[in-house]
Amino acid sequence: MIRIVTALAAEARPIVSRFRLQPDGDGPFRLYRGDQVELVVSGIGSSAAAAAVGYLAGAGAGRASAWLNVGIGGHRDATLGTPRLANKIVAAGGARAWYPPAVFEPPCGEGAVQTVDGVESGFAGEAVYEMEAAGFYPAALRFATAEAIQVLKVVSDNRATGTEHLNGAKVEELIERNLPVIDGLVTELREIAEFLDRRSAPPPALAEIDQRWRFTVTQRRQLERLLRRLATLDPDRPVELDELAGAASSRAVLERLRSRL
Amino acid sequence: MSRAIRRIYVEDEVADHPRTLAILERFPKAERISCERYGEVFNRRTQDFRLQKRRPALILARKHGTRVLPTPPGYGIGGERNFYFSHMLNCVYDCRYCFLQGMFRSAHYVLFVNFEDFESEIASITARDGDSWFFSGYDCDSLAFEPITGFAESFLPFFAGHPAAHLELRTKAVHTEALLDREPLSNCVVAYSFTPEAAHAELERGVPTVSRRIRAAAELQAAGWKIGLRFDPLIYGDSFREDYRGLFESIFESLDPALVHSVSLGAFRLPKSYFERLYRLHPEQRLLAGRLEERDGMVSFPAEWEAEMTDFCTAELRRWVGEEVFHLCTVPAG
Repeated sequence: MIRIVTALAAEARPIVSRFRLQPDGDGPFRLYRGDQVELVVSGIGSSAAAAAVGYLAGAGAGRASAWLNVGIGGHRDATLGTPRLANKIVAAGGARAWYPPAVFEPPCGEGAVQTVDGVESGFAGEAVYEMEAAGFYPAALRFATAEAIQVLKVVSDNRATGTEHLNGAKVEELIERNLPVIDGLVTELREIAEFLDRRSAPPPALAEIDQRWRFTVTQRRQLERLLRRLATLDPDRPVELDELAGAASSRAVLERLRSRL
Repeated sequence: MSRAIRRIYVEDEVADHPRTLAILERFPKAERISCERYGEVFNRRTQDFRLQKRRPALILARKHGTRVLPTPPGYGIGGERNFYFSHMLNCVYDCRYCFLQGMFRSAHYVLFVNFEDFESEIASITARDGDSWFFSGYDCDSLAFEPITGFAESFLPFFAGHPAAHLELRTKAVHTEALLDREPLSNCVVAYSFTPEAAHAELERGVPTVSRRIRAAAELQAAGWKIGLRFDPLIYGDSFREDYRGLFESIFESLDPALVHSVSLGAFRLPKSYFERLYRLHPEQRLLAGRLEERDGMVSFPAEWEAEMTDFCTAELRRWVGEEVFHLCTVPAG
């Protein structure tokens, strides 16, 4: 499952339409769901973005997930509509920085993202200036590994063309224009999420065995590990309930499985 | 290899270091990202080593503090004073038994560019203690990144001027130009690591084949370099006898056993915490899912397997080399 956070409804609309997402519920954040993508509109600012991540993590479906923050931002001189994948995120005031790793070929140019508390017009550095990434990123790190969390910013204003030209339609158009980049990122993130899902998937027969005998928490962990190891070592001979049928206790089940190693 | 580096993180402190500038020049298309300390990128929690191994970045940093450390007990090749130093963290290869994957959170390559500080520390230790060994391939492969780091190119002239300092370059790499292009050093050993072909195919991703490594070692030996052989970790399997016997025969068909400087052996073993992390990364790896036991905080093969392998390999190797060059190692190896 790919979980997308945008600050504005106008940023969300092209993505909702592209992935055919449906509005869901009437909670504190506007939430949209599809088969493989969920999206939440956080509102403006770091705290709102962090809260929206928590909300989506709680309300979302599926196991392993990947996260994407999509939004607009200002840059000193980049052309309007230029997409930038964040390779460094600096919190307002410069107190903290994060470095999202890219384990795939980025579908667009990359650069630093500077989170600020208000609209920026000075653009002292080379970064894209925006207001959510430094809230989104550390919050998402609570729920996913760094490689599965990305931030994409589309340049919406610069020194030559300030924020005064921006409105909902313009924001929508900037995101719409970058849907191929968003598509590319979603594809890459989906592959990562699927890989993580496969790697941590419960081994075959775990649920059935767990239901049939009463395992302590420690024993259940041992059971899962044993079944996983057997699936690796003896893939042609899956563990069957029948072979454990005579086991009088959970301990006997574990012993029988251990003897197969 | 150079195509694989797409991002280079540069610590602010070494941004103007000549080695930094030379490396950046080699990668004009790589994204350069500034950072205050390499740990901000490398040591962060919630990173996945295996995912990062798909596309590791390079981090250029300064090594602070003590740069040259005494080796753990059980690590050495006969010298009385043994030290190790790591000009680099992590390895370009992807060996599924390697303790680095259990030790580090990140698969990025950290290169400490202040070689000169390592060298002055080695010089001080040697001036103080006399003859000492310095092992360079503990947290990385000594030569695998040579075309980019110029590590050997920089350190060999230094060791040439410090004959009481003995250097071990431990490697699986086959690009040996940096060594072949110069006179061999009497105080340097190039130590090649081997596992048999079957273990190589299953466990050593991206590593040059066994035969290419043998060829590289033989070329170096023919050029006058001292060659060490490292069978560490020894990997148990149903056919380990045939596998290791075959490996030793292949090696000594090409290398002159009388000229081999040292041979060391060590069974597969990892500290439990490293093993757990490694297993979580690679649950489908047969070696890690197989019969292993925990003894004194280390995870290894059952003691009887370990003894069987060590005894067999020792006996086989003794057909070729004398006892005096033989060393058992009890510290995890990569």
